[in-house]
Amino acid sequence: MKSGARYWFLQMKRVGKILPAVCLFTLVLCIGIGGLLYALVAENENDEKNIRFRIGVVGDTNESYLGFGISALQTLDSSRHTIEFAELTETEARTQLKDGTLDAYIVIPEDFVSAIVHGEVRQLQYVTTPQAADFSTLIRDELLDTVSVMLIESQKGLYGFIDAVDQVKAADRGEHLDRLNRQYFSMILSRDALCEVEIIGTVGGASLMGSLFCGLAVFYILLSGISFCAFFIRREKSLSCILRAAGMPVPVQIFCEYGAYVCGLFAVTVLPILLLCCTDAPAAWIPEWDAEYTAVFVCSTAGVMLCLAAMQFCLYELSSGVTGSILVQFIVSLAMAYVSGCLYPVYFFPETVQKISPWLPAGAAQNCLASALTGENAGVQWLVLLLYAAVFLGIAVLVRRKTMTAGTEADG
Amino acid sequence: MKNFPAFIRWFWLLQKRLLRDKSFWLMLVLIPVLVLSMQIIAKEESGIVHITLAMENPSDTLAQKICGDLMNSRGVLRFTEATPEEAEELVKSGGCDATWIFPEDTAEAVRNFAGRKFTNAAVVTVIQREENVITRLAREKLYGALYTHCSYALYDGYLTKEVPEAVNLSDADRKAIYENIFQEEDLFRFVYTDGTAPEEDDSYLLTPIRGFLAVLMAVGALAASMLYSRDRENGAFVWLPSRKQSPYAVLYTGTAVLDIGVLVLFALVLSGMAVSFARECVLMFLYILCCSGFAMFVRLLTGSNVVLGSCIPLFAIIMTVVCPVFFHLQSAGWIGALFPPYAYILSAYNDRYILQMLVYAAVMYGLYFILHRILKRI
Repeated sequence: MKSGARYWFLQMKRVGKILPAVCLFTLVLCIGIGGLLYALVAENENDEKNIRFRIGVVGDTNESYLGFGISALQTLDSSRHTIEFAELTETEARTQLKDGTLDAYIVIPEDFVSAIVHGEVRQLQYVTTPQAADFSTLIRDELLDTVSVMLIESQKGLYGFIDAVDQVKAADRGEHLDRLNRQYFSMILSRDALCEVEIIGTVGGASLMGSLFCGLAVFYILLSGISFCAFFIRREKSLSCILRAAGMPVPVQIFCEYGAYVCGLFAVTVLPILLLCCTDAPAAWIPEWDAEYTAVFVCSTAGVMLCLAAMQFCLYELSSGVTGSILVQFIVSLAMAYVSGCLYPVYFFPETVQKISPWLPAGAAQNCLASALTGENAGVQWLVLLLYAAVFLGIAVLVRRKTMTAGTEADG
Repeated sequence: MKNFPAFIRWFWLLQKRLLRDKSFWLMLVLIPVLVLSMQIIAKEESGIVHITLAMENPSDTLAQKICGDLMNSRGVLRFTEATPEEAEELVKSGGCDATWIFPEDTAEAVRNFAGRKFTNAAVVTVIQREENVITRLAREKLYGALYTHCSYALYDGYLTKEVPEAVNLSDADRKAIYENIFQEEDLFRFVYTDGTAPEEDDSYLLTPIRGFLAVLMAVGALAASMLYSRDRENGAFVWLPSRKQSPYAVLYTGTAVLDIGVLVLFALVLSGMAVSFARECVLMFLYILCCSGFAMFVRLLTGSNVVLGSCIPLFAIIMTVVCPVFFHLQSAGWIGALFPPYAYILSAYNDRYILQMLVYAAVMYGLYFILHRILKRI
């Protein structure tokens, strides 16, 4: 027992050697990232327009109807908060698209309006770059689909009306057409009134921001394991053999090393999260954040960290070289965070992945943290995490034993 | 082997050493496995927002038609159907993001909306957990689905109320006149700048692949520079003249990055995300140069493996945020440009960033050699 405590203390000293550097750089870079994100948010908040997409309009926009339509979109429609239109030449649009200052541009054919007057529709070209294929692109496709429907259906209504009036030879066609045109215009602008929206809040489960916060906390804990690569890489395998010969079994060695590693990781992961929780930031971003649950959340983070540390420990035990160890940690962390919904909300994924993810270490960890946010019970998830921790530490013991046996045989 | 130039011998020896490490092999194998898994995931049905459609009257023809159209629509919104009570419960329990409940008589509700100057006549009840950009934009899809019927209701209502002569037209005639106008499909045609059309099966789950792999390579380069540092501390280079140490350091890091680069290239081709093989090869070569230069410079700046190791996770997070892995944050572009993945990700479709990669590599090596000299004098 005494020798175990002494070995743990020695491992603590090893962790202590690298901890100041790790803590300092973590702190400096956390402040850096925080400052960067704060600056970005502040910049967007100060920007009166707060534009998300900038779309160029290329071609003949001098035609009165078209010009009127674009200016109406810019001044009256709810889309003005998300889309800005800029009238450009094709060369300007191409250059700006390449520079990244424009998200896309629409090419209006020369005879577009005259074709509409004659009851025909010319297709508009929506030009973009493949590199812009991110979430904004996906939402853009849905939006343009709606715009397409609205424009075509309105034209159908208006030209259908002309045809109908012509068939029955009604008087005041022009006056009626103007009134109907205004009504269509008004209907498009009032489309929000089509729905009655009731927001019930996040009664069960965390909100989008809450889930992302928990996901990023788990991703951060997963990646933090890399910070301690120096602790694992400098290990002497022969020391394990000597210790075993001196009567310290492998599980005790593993437990002591794991204990020291967890203490180090605690300082790098849980303390910054605790500090963050003490600021106003989470309350400002996460609707369900309750100061009463802060202690529960931080304790859950510590618990989650204990389990994820076992996985990282096992991975280090399985790998040997510097490059391989770090990259295996990185790939496993990234893949697990991705599939478990730490980087995207889990509902972005197909149902199969949604079913699997809560049973993966990172998914279970994220759910535990989310439950701590909402005050729900996460008994099953904790059980899953503890089971994983036991399995990972068990594998670490087996691997260490195998390595020692292989080493002894090689020596022999 | 003895007849080969020294740097080729070093390259070969280092290759042997790296490839003897099982975890290095494991990591190399994990790269294509990861990409393949992402591809398999992306092939299944998914959506960025889950909406449950519910009908108060399941036999309402218009509600059935709109729900059917939405269920069959392709896109990033995922629709499922349930009864209004079940749907509400699903929203409450977090089983879906929102529910759209259609009224008893949707056609009547649509006529009311068109006839009452679009106020106080909501057609659909939307219940959602929270309001955010995605749910707001998802509603535009609902407006699009309802608009077809609202437009006809407005046209029909106007004819009935304002044009007495239209009484001679039967409902079928009015419908036929309306439907005969514009039978074209979509108003917009999507094209890329090179004139090609976007592929139908582009999945949003695959879009971060290039970014992930680029960040992985940058992390790999930092790890490789740690390997160099450790060997240096162990005295592996004491016999080398000091003027040759910097180029050997670059070779050392570059060797590991090259292996990762080859696998990344293979994974890109495998995923179908590669633009063209020749272009990808050129980009990869430049990216290897950039990553090696960046890693060696950071190694000198940090001074020790302990500090360098502690920087890696945070560099990985910063690179994921400021480089266009998920989103292209225009306002963070200048910070992103400090890291090698930024220009690499963007260079796939834009030649300007190839030049930026060249400049980046030159600057990084320049800084590295200058800093090396300064530190040597100190």
